[in-house]
Amino acid sequence: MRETSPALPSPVERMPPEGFSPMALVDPFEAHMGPIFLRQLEDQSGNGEIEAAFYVDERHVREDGVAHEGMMMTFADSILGAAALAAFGEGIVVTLSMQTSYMGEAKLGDLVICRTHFDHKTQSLLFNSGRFFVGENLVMTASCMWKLVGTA
Amino acid sequence: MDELGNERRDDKAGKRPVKAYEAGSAKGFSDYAGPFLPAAPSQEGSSQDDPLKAGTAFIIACAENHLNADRRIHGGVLMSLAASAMRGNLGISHPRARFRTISINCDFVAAGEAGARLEGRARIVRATRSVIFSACEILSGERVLLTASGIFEVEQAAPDVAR
Repeated sequence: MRETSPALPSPVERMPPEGFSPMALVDPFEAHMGPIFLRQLEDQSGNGEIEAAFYVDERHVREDGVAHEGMMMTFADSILGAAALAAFGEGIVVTLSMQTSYMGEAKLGDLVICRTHFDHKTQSLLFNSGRFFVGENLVMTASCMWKLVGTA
Repeated sequence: MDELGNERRDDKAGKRPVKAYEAGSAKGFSDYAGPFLPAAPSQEGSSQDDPLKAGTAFIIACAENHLNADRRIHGGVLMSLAASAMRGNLGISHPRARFRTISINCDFVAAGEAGARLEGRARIVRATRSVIFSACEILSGERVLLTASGIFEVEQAAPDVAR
């Protein structure tokens, strides 16, 4: 993920949830699965903590109507990657590792909201995590490790 | 141009085509995000009689839609293929059960290049009555791109399983 590429359109248009606005997606696969919505939080730490959301539609679900783990992990990768990039300020980050735990299931029509948390950073590594909610219910947590591989 | 304005967007996006999509046309994630297609196990000597040993493979031919901004295969595609391969494997070994995914861990070993044909090979590491441990590798040719593990809870024990 890099910051300088042009934003790409998604094939579905939806009104953002209240308080959110469309996120600029620069990776073709994320644009393909999007839209994703972003809400800027008061970021006093400067460590790039953000809140983001997507609506589970027919492109995102398994046969049983539950959001596919691949979509949940793609969303996590997108949001935690954006948070990692924001924390580094500039450059290109790549995913080294992602751990996901599933407490519940997001279903067709649900709004999934992710809140990211900055955990630790070195010169070239960053650790962050996200909690994923449907309404009040925690449905997934993700922990991610990022490597800064260059400047954009 | 369709009502979503896809054709106009194609022009704006330059060489990246926005894959045509009409509301109501998607047949689920595995088809739309992939397609992730089941393939015959390619490993020599895998035993069809023993689900613990019979690995299954899922493949995807990567297109423009599967890339990231650096024109490598997006990590989400690799993780999605791993999830589909592991779940697909469970469906073969435990055809009547329903599974709830509890955990999926993924390590990104190498980057995938545009146009690659990826193979996801999943196998069951251990199956108990209530929980199944799976492992998966995503390969581009001989090269490992991603290793993954998953834990799945068995929601209904199928009569077949005990046999």
